[in-house]
Amino acid sequence: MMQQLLNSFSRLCVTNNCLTFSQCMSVKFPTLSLTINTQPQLQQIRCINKLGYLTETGWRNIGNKWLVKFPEEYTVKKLPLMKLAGRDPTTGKKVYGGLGGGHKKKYRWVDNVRSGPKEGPPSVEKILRLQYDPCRSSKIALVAAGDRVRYILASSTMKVGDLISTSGHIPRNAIRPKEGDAHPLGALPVGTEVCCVEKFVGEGASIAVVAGSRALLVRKVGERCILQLPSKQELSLKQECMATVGHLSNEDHNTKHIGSPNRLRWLGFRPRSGLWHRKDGRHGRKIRPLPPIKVLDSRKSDKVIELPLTIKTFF
Amino acid sequence: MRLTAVVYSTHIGNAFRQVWKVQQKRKILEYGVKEKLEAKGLQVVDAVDFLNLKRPVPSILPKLKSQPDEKLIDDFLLPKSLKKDHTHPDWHDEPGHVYHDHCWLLTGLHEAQHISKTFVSNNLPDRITSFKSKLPEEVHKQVQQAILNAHVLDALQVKLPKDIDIKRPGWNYPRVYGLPRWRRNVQLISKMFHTADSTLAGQNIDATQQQFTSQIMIRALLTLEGRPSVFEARQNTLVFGKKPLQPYLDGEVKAEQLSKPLPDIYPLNRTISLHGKNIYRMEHKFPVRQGAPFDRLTMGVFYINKPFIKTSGTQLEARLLLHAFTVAAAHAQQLYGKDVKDLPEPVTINCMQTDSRNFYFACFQLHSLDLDSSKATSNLFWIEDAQPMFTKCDYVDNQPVLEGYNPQVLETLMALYKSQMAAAV
Repeated sequence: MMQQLLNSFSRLCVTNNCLTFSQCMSVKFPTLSLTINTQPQLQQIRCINKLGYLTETGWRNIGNKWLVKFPEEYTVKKLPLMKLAGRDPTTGKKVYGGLGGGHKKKYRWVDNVRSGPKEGPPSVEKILRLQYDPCRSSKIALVAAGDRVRYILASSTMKVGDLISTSGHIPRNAIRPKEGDAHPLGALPVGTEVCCVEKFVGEGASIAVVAGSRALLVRKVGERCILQLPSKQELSLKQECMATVGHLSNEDHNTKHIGSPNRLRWLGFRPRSGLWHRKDGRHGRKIRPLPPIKVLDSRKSDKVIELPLTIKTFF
Repeated sequence: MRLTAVVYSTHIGNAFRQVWKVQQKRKILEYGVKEKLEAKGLQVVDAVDFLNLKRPVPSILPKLKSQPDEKLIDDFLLPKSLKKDHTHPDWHDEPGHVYHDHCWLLTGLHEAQHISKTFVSNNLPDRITSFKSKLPEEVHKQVQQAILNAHVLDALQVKLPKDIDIKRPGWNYPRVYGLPRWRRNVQLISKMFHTADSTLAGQNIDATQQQFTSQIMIRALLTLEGRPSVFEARQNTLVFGKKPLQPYLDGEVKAEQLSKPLPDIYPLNRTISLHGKNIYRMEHKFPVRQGAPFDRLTMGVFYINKPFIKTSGTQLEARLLLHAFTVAAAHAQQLYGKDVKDLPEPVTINCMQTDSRNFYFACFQLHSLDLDSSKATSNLFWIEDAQPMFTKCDYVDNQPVLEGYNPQVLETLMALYKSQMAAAV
């Protein structure tokens, strides 16, 4: 009952960024002091509310599938996760269909930045264990060095007890790559299979992060490296972008047969209906030439402050 | 196909709503107005701050006229918990290392060795094995009855945590009511010691020479990697005697053991599992005052009360080592002062760890509390392999059943206990 009470009053939270309509009302008609103050710390993890997504920092909407609140500092502890079932957390409308239900999950914060020293010996980390992650198809590795423990995406040849190194140095001649190590693209020889590649320097891996995927370093042009993506499209990246040598773990993920409709429901997919013509329309095989190479430089940063007004319409 | 009526006129509200979805995100572009105004000496304040909407609203609940600042009735119906930030009474700006009951070291025993600078042997010392002897059947029968009493025949029924099988993730097992682990531990250990006492009394050894404390917080304050470190142990039963235990190894043999190198934990730091925390209490705690009749620590029994712990490798052995170290360090600090580094006389204790089913027996000899010294090892630790007390103790077809009783456990405990008695005599 107390939970419900707090939930109903949780909409009345004020920040610098926006004013909710209900807060406007309460300023005009002052209510009991129970309503105004924020929930105590203990409650925040249990009742995650979608509107907290707008009013506090650290919330991240992952593909309209999950809503996770990230703490300020990186942590290896599992984070509570709220399922969105394809709905947009602000409007509540359905964005993607076919999602809903499924087994409860906890989010493991995987550090997808592998940065190493530009000079001197590479930084070495030890693999403590390889784990299953319900939020992604590949396995994750618990990795430690010095005082820092973190999760990274596990490549296929990683084993417990291995030492993996990360270096930011780009030598004159390409190095002999070892699977599991991370180097900038400029340091690797042409023809290397890489995974967990950064699009923009220092941002973190976004290319080839899915189970079994790999990108191929096709050629080097000056200070740029041309990468063949898993979709066979080519991409021109800066040579300082970090990449992990090898391909990602759990290669037979896409060959595993789901087996039953129940299993698909446990994975969070709602029952599908609709005629599927294997060779017609959008389902048919397409044969097209590849698009031209995309050249990526650095991410455009628009310093624009967005002030969301959440006043409800009168319709 | 939907069988609702076709609507010919457009609903303006729908159009408005769709437009509002985009227009509600007002973009504030930076034109540098604030800097220009401030350069001219004009103050620029955020509108929301100016309105001061986050001001504390005065309570409408009644107040005492004599003490207007005191709240008669607290505004909150729920008790406020202390926030873990600088407003916490135990907050320190300098982060310190804290080791407590629920700390699990990442790599296990090797890390514990590096933290406490200890050399580990895989057998109990010769003096203990010389005390081992076969016990009569009646004694074993008493202990078997004690096991049944502790695990199955106790009247306390508590809702136990959910049973989880990792290989069947969604499966809900029927919820079990049973004895909590702390109760099983306490009952079993107290009965085992009671049996030990009565057996020794039969052999004309005075069992009252050893006295027990129960479930008291022990805290030792040390310096690790230059930072203040707090070592705490809470779930324990300590055994005190009149005289201290004699050290197990001395002189040349000890020096030979200590010269052997420690196992490598590269690239980890030894403090990787003891995270730097800002909230800790710098207060030394030890239950028995110096000068009391039984003020010499001889044995520490540590409990693992948390159910369903996922441990791997040597994490449990590491826990035993660091708990023994904590308790011995607190005792040494009480005897020789808070800042002692190298002890004039080593502190020797026997120790035991149990989760009411598996038993770990060990001996610890503390020589130095200098954890940042250049010496690789200063202390000694002897530990035996884990011994299960039984394989099964449960209700089978509504009958209490005990299977696979291991007499070695009681015999090892008796050997450790006898060695303490010998010291007392």
